[in-house]
Amino acid sequence: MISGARSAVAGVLLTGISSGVFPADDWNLKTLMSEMAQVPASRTRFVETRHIALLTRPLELKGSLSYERPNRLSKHVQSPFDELLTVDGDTLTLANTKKVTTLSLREQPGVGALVESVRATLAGDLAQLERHYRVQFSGHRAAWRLQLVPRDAQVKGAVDSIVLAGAAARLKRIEIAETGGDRSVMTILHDGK
Amino acid sequence: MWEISVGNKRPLLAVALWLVVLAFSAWQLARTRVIADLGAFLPPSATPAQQLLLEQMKSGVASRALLVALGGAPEERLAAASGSIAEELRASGLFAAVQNGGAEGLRADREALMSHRYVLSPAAAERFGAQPLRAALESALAELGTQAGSALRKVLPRDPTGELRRIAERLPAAAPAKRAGVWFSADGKRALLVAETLAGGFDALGQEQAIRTIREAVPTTDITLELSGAGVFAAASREAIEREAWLLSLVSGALVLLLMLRVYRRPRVVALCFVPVVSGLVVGVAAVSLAFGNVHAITLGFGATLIGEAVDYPSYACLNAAPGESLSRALARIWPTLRLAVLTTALGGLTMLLSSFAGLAQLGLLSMSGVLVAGLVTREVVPALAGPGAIAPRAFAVPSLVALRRLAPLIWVLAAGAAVFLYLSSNTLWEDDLAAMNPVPERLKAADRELRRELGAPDIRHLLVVRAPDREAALERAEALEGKLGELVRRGVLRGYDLATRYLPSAAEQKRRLAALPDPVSLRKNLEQALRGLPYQRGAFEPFLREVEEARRRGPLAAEDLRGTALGLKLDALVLRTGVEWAVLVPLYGVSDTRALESEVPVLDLKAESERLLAGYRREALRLSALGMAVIVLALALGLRRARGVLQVVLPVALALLLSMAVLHLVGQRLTVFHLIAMLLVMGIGLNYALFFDRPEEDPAARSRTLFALYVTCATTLIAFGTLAFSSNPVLYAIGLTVTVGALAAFLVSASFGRR
Repeated sequence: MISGARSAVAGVLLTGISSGVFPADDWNLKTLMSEMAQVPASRTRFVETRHIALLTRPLELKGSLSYERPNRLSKHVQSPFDELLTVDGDTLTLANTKKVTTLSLREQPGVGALVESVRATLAGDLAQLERHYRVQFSGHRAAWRLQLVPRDAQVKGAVDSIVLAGAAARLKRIEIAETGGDRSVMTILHDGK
Repeated sequence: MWEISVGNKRPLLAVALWLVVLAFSAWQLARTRVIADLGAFLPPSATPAQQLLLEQMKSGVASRALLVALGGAPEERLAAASGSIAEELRASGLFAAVQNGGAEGLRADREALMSHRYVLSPAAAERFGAQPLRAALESALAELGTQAGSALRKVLPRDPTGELRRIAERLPAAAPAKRAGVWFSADGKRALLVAETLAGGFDALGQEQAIRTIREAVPTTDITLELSGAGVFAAASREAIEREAWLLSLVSGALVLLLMLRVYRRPRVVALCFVPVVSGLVVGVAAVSLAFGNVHAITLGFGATLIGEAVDYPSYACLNAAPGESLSRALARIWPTLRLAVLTTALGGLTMLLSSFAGLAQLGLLSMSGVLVAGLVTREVVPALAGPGAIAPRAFAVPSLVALRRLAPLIWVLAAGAAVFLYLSSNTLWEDDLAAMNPVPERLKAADRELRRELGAPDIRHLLVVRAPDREAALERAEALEGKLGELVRRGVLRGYDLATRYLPSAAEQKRRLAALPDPVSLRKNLEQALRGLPYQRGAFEPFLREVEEARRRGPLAAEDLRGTALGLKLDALVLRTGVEWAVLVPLYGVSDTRALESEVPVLDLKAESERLLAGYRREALRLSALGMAVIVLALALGLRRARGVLQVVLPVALALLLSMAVLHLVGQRLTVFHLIAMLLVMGIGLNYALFFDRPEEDPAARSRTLFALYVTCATTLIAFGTLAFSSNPVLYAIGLTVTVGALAAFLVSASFGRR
């Protein structure tokens, strides 16, 4: 993780050179990540639309997301059913009205990749993000976009790409394209501001 | 007896014959195969249930499972190692299956279950009406958005009624916790694998190869490997037995040699004393090899004990020789006593030979033939080699044992105490755990229990055995138990059971299930009716319609279809051919009410059965021991020709046996058949002492010489068997300890009761 002005400057220079981003634009992947890394915790609401090839109309899910540094993330679906997905370190806990299941993240490549894409982004952990994905950054501070393409063959079998979009240190939208043609779009609502 | 004169041709003939026999034996030895199959030391089985029990112990799937634990590195590296080891082992061709909890090992099973779901699921067809289909599709709709939904989306078009899930739920799940995608111990410090070898659990060489492959598959040296399972026991025992057989023989041989050198101070005489023992060993092992086609490693280890016995024969003569007397003359003088000593020991071996244990019969033959040959060589060959010169060693001052005579009353008291003690503790006197008969060090057994617990492998004690003349009939009978077993689970009599017909229903049942599946036209009609108004795409369930039809056409599932999967292995373990019959084993888990269970179904209690097996076996050993004693007493009566003499000789030995049994139990030994066998040896050795203590001697000098001979021979016995008591092999340890204690007791008691 980047900390301190010197390494931040070095990071700016390095990414500026390597990704060929216009030098005048001082907002890029590194700065996005270091801004993200300043956020200790967040709590948001979301609306997720799932387009499932099997169905003639999409499913709409509503609930809340919360993140706590360094690696605790939870997604609470409240409608149309109740399901709480919590990831803490490597342990994933899935609780619905019927039962609670605990498993290791790496057991479920699809879920694992999905979690890591959001969690590493919220953590501002570029190294972790790049371990799982080829990352492409575009946009500017007020409207940035990260396109993630999985590296692992097994994850590739489940997920085509994940697109994260936001403004400054706020994640506003997650789009997941699955290999089977299914797709989900999650819109994240930041209360107050 | 026979007078030997120098002019006689007899010694020459004896030496020639001896050389011929030795040469033939050496030739036989060169072609001898040494085996280490621990099964040879398991009792033979009397009933079909016991046969099943032992077969399972020797070569059942449980016996072929090697349990592997990796430790010493961080979780992530252990998980990676677990994966790479599993892959390498699967590729080696030595294992029928390798499971580490990873998806790779389960894929084949999931595929098999999925493609045969309509014969494996008991009442799938009942869910194919329009109404039940509608209910299934509605509940799937609610589930599609959940996390589980992503997996459901893939199988729903093929399996809308969730048959795969139903089948999976009925399989017993006893798997350890997973971390990083593979099995881990509860504390997260060790990654766990189970590797099923193709070689039988008691096939020591095959297991050694499998174990070597596992060791070599460990990627780095900082990852520690723990291995357990019957195969590890077999390989470890084989190694230990071979190593110890040599080491113990060398050590006891060297110690005896040192003692003899100290006593005789003439290497030539010492060499003479070793001639009978070496001849006995060579001929004895050759005889075993001829009779059995192989020699067990434990038998070889046991050969060491012969040293302690047969080295004494020439000693009795040498040490008994009067000053200036030749060996042949001294030998002729003591031969009647020595002959009786040899014969009684050989008779002890004979009773072992009659045992139905292959391993014990080998020990019996070795000791009988070895002792007889050693005796004959002592009588016929050694004097010829010694020549006519004086043999007597320099006189040693011998402590008189007269003081011991005062101990006689005390011995009676002790013997009475021992008898009472043994009677009172008769409940715990005998080993009744079959596992303890397995000559495996306790340290390994404890590690095995620990790993099995971690792997969640249930300790199976209760088993249903369903028998029938053929496989299908056995499966049908097992299937018929399902209802009753389910009810017993509901009543809380047991927690669960593992029924093979869940992986492979009987052909008749499979046909019934297939026949119940609707034809394509009605199924399509039902589906369309069920889908009305639901937001599923048109044609989404075509795979379902197609696969139901495929199932109807393909017909029943055969055992061969499951080959290569974990289910196939399970099936091999649970459906067996036993002789001309077929048996389906149904392991029962968590039995809480044995009586209620037994009143409903015929249960095989493995623990009780193994106890019965051991008890039967013990009865055989006791009967054989009694027979041995009777024969020995008869031989004594014939040899001594006076009843009082027989009593004089037998009584000290009987008291010594009683005392040593009490001492063994007092130091925590539970008696097994090996202790009983050792008691026969004690009897042989004790009789030697008693016979010589009881020998009428002409003068005090001769008396003193006999006493000295007894000291020396007792010392050699204690050296040989005392060394054996250091063996880590339970069989050799039991024999060594028993004979050491017994020989000492026999010596003391005989000394206390002997003539002045």
